[in-house]
Amino acid sequence: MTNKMKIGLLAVPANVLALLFTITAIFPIVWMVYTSLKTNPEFSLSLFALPSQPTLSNYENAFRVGNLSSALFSSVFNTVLTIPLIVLGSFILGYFFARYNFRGKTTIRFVLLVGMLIPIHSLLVPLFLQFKWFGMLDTRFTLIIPYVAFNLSLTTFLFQSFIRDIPTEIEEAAYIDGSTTDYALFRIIFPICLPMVSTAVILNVLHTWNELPFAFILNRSAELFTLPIWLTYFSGQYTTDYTGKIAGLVITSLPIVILYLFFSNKIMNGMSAGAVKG
Amino acid sequence: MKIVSKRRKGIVSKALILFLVSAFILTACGKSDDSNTPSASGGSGGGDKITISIAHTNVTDDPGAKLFRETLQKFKDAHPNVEIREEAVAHDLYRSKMTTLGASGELPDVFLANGSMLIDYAPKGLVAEWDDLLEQDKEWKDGFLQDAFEDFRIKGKIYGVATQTLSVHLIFYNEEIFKQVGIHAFPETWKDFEDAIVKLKDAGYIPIAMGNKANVPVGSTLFSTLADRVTGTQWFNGLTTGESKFTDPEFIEALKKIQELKNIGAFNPDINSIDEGQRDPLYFNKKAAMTVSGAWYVGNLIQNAPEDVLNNTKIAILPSTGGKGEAAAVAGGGGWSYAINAKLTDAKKATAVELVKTFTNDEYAAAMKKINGFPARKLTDDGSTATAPLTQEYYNLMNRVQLTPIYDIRLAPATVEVIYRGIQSLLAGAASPEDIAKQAQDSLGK
Amino acid sequence: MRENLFKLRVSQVLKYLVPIYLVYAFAVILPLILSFVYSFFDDYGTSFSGWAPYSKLLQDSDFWLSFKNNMILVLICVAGQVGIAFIIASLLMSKVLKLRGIHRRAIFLPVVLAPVVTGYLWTLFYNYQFGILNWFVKLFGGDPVLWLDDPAKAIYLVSIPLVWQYVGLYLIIFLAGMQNISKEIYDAVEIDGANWRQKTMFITFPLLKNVTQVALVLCISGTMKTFDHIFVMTGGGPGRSTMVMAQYSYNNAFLMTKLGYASTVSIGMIVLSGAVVLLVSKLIGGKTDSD
Repeated sequence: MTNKMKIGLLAVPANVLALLFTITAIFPIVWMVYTSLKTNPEFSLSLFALPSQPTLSNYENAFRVGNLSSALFSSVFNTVLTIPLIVLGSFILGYFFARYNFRGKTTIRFVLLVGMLIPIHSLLVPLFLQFKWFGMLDTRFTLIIPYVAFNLSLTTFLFQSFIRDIPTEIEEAAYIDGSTTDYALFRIIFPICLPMVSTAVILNVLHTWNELPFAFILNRSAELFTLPIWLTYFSGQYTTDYTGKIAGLVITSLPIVILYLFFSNKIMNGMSAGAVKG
Repeated sequence: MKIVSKRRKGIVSKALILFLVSAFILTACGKSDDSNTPSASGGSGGGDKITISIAHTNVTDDPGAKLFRETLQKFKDAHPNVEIREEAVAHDLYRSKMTTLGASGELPDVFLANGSMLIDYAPKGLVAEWDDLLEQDKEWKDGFLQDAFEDFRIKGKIYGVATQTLSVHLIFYNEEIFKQVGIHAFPETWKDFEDAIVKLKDAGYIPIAMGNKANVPVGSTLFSTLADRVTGTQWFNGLTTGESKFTDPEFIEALKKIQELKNIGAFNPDINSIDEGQRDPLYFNKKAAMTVSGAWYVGNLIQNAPEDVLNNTKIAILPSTGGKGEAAAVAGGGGWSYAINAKLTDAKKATAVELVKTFTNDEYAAAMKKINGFPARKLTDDGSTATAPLTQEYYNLMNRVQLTPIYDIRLAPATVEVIYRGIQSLLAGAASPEDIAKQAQDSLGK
Repeated sequence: MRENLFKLRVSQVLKYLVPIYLVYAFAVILPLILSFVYSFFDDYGTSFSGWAPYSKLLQDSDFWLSFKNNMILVLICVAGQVGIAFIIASLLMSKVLKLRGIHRRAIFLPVVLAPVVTGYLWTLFYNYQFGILNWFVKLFGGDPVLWLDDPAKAIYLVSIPLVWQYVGLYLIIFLAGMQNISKEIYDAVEIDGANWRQKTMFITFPLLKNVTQVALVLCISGTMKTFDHIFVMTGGGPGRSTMVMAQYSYNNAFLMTKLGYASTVSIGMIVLSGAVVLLVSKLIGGKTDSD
């Protein structure tokens, strides 16, 4: 039973380190929540202490800063519209890259790779100009196209790597039976890709939800402003409402954390079906 | 989010195409009035509707921002034929937004601009001169404080109307701590100042707490004033004409003074890694005897400092260094101003000017002062009757000092970046005064 | 037969690839071309200057310092983000770890936070007077350490939050990838007496090669353009010690209003990052990824 002993030797440090990591990973959320219950005078005396008299005043205030509900609506609107587009587009591209060989594939893959290398800020002015020429500034839909385009690359590469590991037999059989590409894509491969779909959804929701530069450059009207813009309203030129901002962060992060916990179950359910048992 | 995981047939890809096409069309046609750039709807006057776009940063929940928004609303109510279009983002995002708008030829009709933005815009002919407009309304013009326009004067012409006038340099010190280590009055000579620092340090206090992560705090609130003490304002003014250079011994001497302060342990050792928010616990917990900041910190102390710290806090300014500058002077001024687009003409321009006057008249100034703002206008209420003692002390001080240039407002941004970043390196012990001086001179490109 | 089945038809190109690429070209490629044109203009974007901005870039010590900093970050993040994630993923697949469900959920939580939040929090951890790290140092009798203030070590310290935040990202990428490894293979080798290390080395790793490759590409490209964390934590300071290329470009554009030169910096940055990514995927992937 040397195997068992080896596992035992490894288990202690591995568990301790994993536990430490987990604690540091949870701490920020805990810190944010309890700090949001403090007042600014209390916060500026001690950055880590627990609130002596927890108060919800920061949350009450949050509704007076800017327009929280409209920011929430804009963020949800952008996210709900972009995520399906990103996932579908990337899934399709990923499929073709993984399965098909064609002339120019290296080139168009490289073109897609470039999208992951561009520092967002360097495209603000060009993109603004371009949207101005096309009359696309400052509408409900303005951010959809940039959000889809800028998240396409990363997600495509994820899907490609995932699909490449899926055996081709089922599709081959289906194609021989006269299946259409649509059928193979969405009825055969897509269901197998669900764990990666969950991953893609989480990642892209995060990117879209937290995106700031495009949101404040391409839109002007206050009613189109998203949550990250709303969060900047807690700092003036000379002063910052720290605890108010942290309460704001709790409000804006909450939907994402919940969404993540939901999707992490999706991944895990898939896991226990397909992989080693505990 | 369930949509994604549902299995779909061929309609999906068609839906995808349709979706994208419609996104394009919707985006492109969503707003038809986007061609409404400043020049396009130039005022023909008469009964036509006039559209004025205004960019500002008054989006927060603080009283000053609220006052601005309320006043803007009143203006809208009083002018039904004027449509106001706001480009309002928080201060942190404002510069990026304006740079983008400026580079795209989309500068709004009226906008907030600080001195350094005007240095960029004025030579390109993007902003209108105020000189004649000011002359046309003597009463308005004469109501401004003496130095209110200095930050916005480029080659003799005024390009902005000050939103405020304040000191960016004040030393807030805890009198109790000073007494405890045996200092009974704030030092009046440089030597006494340094002695006091050493005394405080030996007693276990942080002499001066600052949060310089952003590299602007030390540069703006301390160095601008310190440099003026050493070089004198005349030297600074000579920079634009080329009469003086950053490599002059005066400027190097000023940098050496900062280095000297660092060497005797004047600052918290973590000065370069903390922001101003993380500086507060040092001063509020009485670990630090002094902190340097601008007029706005008065309000912050009143709001957030523990009562005993607030009660013991007094305001002072840097003592004379024995250099060429005045000792009764602090870096300060308007900093920010209202500028109007050079493209405006006729009725539209008149409306824009009227709008700016709404935010710079005596009524607005008095309202600002009531909520602890720092208006740029002479008021019958000179602040000496303010309720908070610290505010009173501030105004008493302001009545006896003159204002000197704020580096980040008066110099080109590239030069400011070199000097302020250089000072940060200096404080980290990673650069010499001579190097910084040379880089600063090089950045002028002359 | 396979060749015929997976041969791209014109109808497929038109139906699937063209619409997606049109969107991409419109929002990414077109502005990039504009930016490229801009990069040949002088500092302030007013007059065409040919190759002059690029020769300036080649001699710009601040830019190369930023590049060096980016490379340090890439090395640390590849080892840290991808490496640690891989180890945790394979541990999660074995019986070694307890509380697997909690770990898996918790380790991803930092990914959910906005980078500015992570950056700010870590400045609090690193805080000299009140920080948690120095609290531990004092607990063990040491003198408090000046963390981010030391220009010599600041770049290494700012990399830690980057690693910490994104381990979870690569973890779920690996976990998703591991689903393709059938349970039977594991069971079979377990019967043969393989231990965790052997399973990892000989089964998990080779089967995750594709996923690992893409994880590396993501990690390198993400780190090459890293901005928010460092902007919040140090702003590139003290001095220029933690300046990275993305912030250098940003500072040029929005702090110093040198839009022309900022574009030159960005293009230089894209070229260098592309070169590094291609080089690495050639090195590890051989033919699979680049074909």
